[in-house]
Amino acid sequence: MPTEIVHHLSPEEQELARKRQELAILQAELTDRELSLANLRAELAAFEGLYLREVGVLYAELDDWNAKIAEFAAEAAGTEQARTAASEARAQAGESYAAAHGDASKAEEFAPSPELKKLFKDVVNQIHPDRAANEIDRALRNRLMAEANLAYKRQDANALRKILEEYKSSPEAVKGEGVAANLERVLRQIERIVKRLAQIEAETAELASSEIALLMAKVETAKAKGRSLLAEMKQDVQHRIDLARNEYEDQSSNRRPR
Amino acid sequence: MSTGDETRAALVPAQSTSLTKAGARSLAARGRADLRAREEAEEWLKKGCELRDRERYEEATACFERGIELNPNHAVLQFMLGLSFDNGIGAPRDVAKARAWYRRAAEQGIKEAQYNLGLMYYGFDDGPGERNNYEQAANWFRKAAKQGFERAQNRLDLLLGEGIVVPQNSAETRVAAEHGNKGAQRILGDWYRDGRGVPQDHAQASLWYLKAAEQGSADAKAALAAMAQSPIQDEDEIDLSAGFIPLSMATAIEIHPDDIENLPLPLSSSARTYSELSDSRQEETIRGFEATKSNLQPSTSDEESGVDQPSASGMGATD
Repeated sequence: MPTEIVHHLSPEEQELARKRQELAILQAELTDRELSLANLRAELAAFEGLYLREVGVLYAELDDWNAKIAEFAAEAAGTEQARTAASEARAQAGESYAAAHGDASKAEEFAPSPELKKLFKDVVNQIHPDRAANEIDRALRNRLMAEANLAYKRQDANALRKILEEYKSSPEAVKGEGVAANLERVLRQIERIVKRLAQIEAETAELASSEIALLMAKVETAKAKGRSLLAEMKQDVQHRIDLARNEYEDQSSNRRPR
Repeated sequence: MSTGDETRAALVPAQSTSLTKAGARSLAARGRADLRAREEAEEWLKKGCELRDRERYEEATACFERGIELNPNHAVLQFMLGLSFDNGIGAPRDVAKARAWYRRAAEQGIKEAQYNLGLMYYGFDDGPGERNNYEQAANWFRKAAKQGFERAQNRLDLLLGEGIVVPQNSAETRVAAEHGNKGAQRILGDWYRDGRGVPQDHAQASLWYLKAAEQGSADAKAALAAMAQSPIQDEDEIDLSAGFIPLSMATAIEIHPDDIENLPLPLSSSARTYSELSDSRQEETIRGFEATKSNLQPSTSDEESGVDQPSASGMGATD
């Protein structure tokens, strides 16, 4: 587009051309960043699902035994303090169970194909809300982008294609006319993209320092050294479950604990 | 989180919710905290062992205690604490505490702990209650021996050979017989006579009966006499008939029951199958028997409690 402009350009037109170039560069960067962020989110969600299924459920089981022990002790002691402790332990067990068996635990392994990545990039390129020409367009793009993120996360290429088609056939996709209007639009788009890039950076940093990301980093580092940290964690918690169950059984059968 | 929240929520509703759910996050945090605690416990173990090597025992015990606070299920730390309390090195001697730590480590498969716990039951333990509980001792020796811990195997062999502990399977019965237990020797004689779990072998049967008879087993003497009177032919190999002990021989044994040196002689001169046994096996059996004879009065000089250092392999077994 800029190569067609040879001369006879008003300063306004020249400014528009420069800004369009700037916008194009920013848009390309935005697409890459959105893709990385989507990948990071999906990888973390997948790891979280794996962790909850493998280790989280064991913590939930451990908490259940601990709650049983506390409840038994409360019944035996009959003190207010023991009852409070027991109900706290039971609440903890309930929380752990809900977390370990909730939606997050259903996240499947995330391994997007190059085609899927490319498709998602196309979607971002065309329908990212920060490329919107006006507020109506922006609302449509927001909705479609949210759907696209979900589709990408569940690695659903067909859904991504449909989203692309829906946007193309939308009347909102028509662009405005006139140099001044165009420049105004480009400047606003640039502003939005810069803002969005900052958000992405902040969210990436936040995600990277989240508990699950730190845990994943540890697991990955250990894996490189040939250790399976998840297996070790499972073994550890399982051992604690066995001890807790023994303790409970000792108590409830009125045997003297060893 | 500032003004970007709505945009982000609009962009990615489902993904961020699962990541920010408190329950899942706290489970992840818990896993990480436990990992960290286990790593730190490992550091304390390392530090404690270094101090122990430099004979700074009290500091070493303090390290083990720090470690066990962080990871109460660390088997090697449990063993090290057991050792401290058992030997009274780096901590006041406390048999009950030592036994409790050894037990926890032993239950997690630390063979040195299994052995030392066995020794405590065996009676090298000043504490009340569980002295001379030989069956318990044997059970822990068995577990350590199964992991290839030789000293435990030797202790178990002694208990079996002395007839203090009842063999639990055919392998142990054989061990008991080889270590001089006359009851087990008589049983082995039965096995070879009848081909029970072993190929029928009357020469072997006679050998074990002789060993038992030599120690005064009336059953074995009767069995020897019966074999001599009504020789039963082995089904496949007719040659084996030459291996039967003549009645006069059985009588001869009765005449000289204590003369171990004489045992192989009449057998090798008259029993063809016995001479056909591989020389090494013949040697082995007899040497084993004599060695056992000298072991029948266990020396009491070897009563130091347990191993002084965990073996390198024991140290490695941290999970």
